[in-house]
Parts: sequence; C-alpha cells; structure tokens
Amino acid sequence: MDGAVWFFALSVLAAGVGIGIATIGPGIGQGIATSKAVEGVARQPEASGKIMTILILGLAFIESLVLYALVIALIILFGNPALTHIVGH
Amino acid sequence: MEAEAPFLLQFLVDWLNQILGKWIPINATIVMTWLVSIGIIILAIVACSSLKMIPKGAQNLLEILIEQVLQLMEGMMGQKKAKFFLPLMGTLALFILVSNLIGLVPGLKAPTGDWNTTIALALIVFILTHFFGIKGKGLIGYLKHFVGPIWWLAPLMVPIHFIGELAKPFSLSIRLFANMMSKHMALGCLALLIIIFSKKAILFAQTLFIPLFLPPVIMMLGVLTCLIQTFVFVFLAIVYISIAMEEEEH
Repeated sequence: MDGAVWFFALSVLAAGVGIGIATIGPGIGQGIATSKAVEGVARQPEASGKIMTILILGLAFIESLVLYALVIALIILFGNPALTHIVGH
Repeated sequence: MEAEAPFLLQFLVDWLNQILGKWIPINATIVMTWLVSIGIIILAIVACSSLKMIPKGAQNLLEILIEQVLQLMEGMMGQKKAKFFLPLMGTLALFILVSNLIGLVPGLKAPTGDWNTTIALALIVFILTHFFGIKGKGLIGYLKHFVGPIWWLAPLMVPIHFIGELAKPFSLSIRLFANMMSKHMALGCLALLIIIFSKKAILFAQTLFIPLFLPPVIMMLGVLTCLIQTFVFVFLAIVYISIAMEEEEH
C-alpha cells in the first residue's frame, strides 16, 4: 500500500475510534444526570417541570462534548486541511 | 460530503447564481435561508392581517410560540427586560425552529445544518451580550466582572474569563450545527444504502429492511432534536444576556 492509502485508512480508524471513545464519558454523565432527575421527580412530582428544564439544558451541555468529537471526526474524514500537503494532490 | 441527499432546489441555486453570481456566490444554504425568512414573513402577515381576541389558525400558532418564549424570559430576567428582548429572542426561536424542521423534508436542506448560519446567529447573541453588559453596568463595572472577586487572582482569572467568553458563541453554534448535520448525514447514509443494496439485489428482503424502516425512526428523533435544540439555543441566549446585564449581588 502506498502512503495515500495508509493515510486514508488511518484517518478512518482515527475518526471511528475517536468518536467511540468520545461517547463513553458523556454517556455515563447523561446516565447519572437522568437518574438523578428521575429520583428528584419521584421524590417531588410537583417540581417535574423545573427539573425537566434543567435536565434538558444539562443534557444539551453534555451532548455538545460528543458533538465536538463528531466535528473533528468529520474534519478528519472530509475536510482535512493538511491533506494536500501530505498526499500531494 | 458524498453521503448527502440531492438538493431539490438546485435549479433555483443555479438560476440565482447566473443573476447574482458576479457579486455574491449563492449556495443551497443561502437559498434555504431566504425561503425560510420569506415563509416566516408571509406567515406573520397572514396571522396579523385579522387579529382577533379569540385566536384561530395561524394567529393561534404564533401566539403559542411567542407566549412560550415570553414565559421563559420572564422567569430569567423579569417582566420589563423580557418585553424589551422579546423581538430578538422570538425571531431567533421562530427562525431556528422553522429552519430546523424544514431539514426534515426530503430534498430540502436545513439552513442550520451549515456552520455559517449558526455562527452568524451565535455572533449576534455574542455581540449583544457584551453591548448590553457594558450598557447595563458601565465599562468599568463590566470589566470588573472579568477580574473576579479577589483582586490578586486577577492574572489567573482574566485569561480564564476571556477564553470562557470566547468559547460561548463557539459552543452555542457548534451544538446547533452538529446536531442538525449529524441527523442529516445519518438520513443521507441510509438513503445511500437503499441505492447500493437495490443495485446489487443480494439478500434483497433482508438488507432493504434496515434502510427502509430506520429513516422514520431517525426522523421521529429528529423532530424531538429540532425542538430541543431550538429551546436550548434560545434558553442559553437568554441566560447569557441576563447574566451579563444583572447587577452585582454579592
């Protein structure tokens, strides 16, 4: 295999493994957040509206960490700025 | 991006490029943004042409949305400021909601699925945050917020606050854009699978099952994502502006 094929293969590997690793932490975090929210609603059902708002906001914040990884994966796959310097054309 | 569905209004892009291409290059995002804006303006004109005490149809729809935004804002920043910022936040909510949802129509693209649109929206919020922050507290009072409560920690706190302020529009825009685009690309990949599998016709019944029945599920999740992302964007914009404007309490 020549350099360009190696480069492509490693890019795909990096994107796939990277997004996989990036989802672990936020997945655990979202699980903890949701479980606590469920506990809160079970203890105090009348506060469910407020808890829901805060939960969704927090989940969106946690989710954005995965999305950063997704953007980097997409840059690696489709728009690598260093591509022309490494492969040549 | 190869895995994207074909754009239905490509003829409109080509036609506009012939007319305006000399001055500004037109692409699908710009055309979709214009379409969304025109659609919202027409909806607003139709809804406001015959205002009634008991709303019906389009007026009812808009009143629900605006009341929701106003309620959200009154909880955060009080009634007077909420009325003042309602035009901005209402416009943001309406524009983002419609442009998120229009991406679910096959053949059309969501304008918010392009980083250029979302960074523009986030920069509007960013600039207004600092403008009203300085206007509300005065320049000295506003800069004092960057130093933090303890003066000898200033060399540490100022860079942290500075980077934090710069990261706000970045994260705000990336969140909306990446959510919309990832949904769009997942649908595009599944559409591509249908084409590939139907050409090869191997294991037709089994393999076509996944690409034919997964898109509706993703679209259902997509509707939810659209609504939640609109809410999160507007909510964060309100939070940023109200934090920048609020008086010192401690």
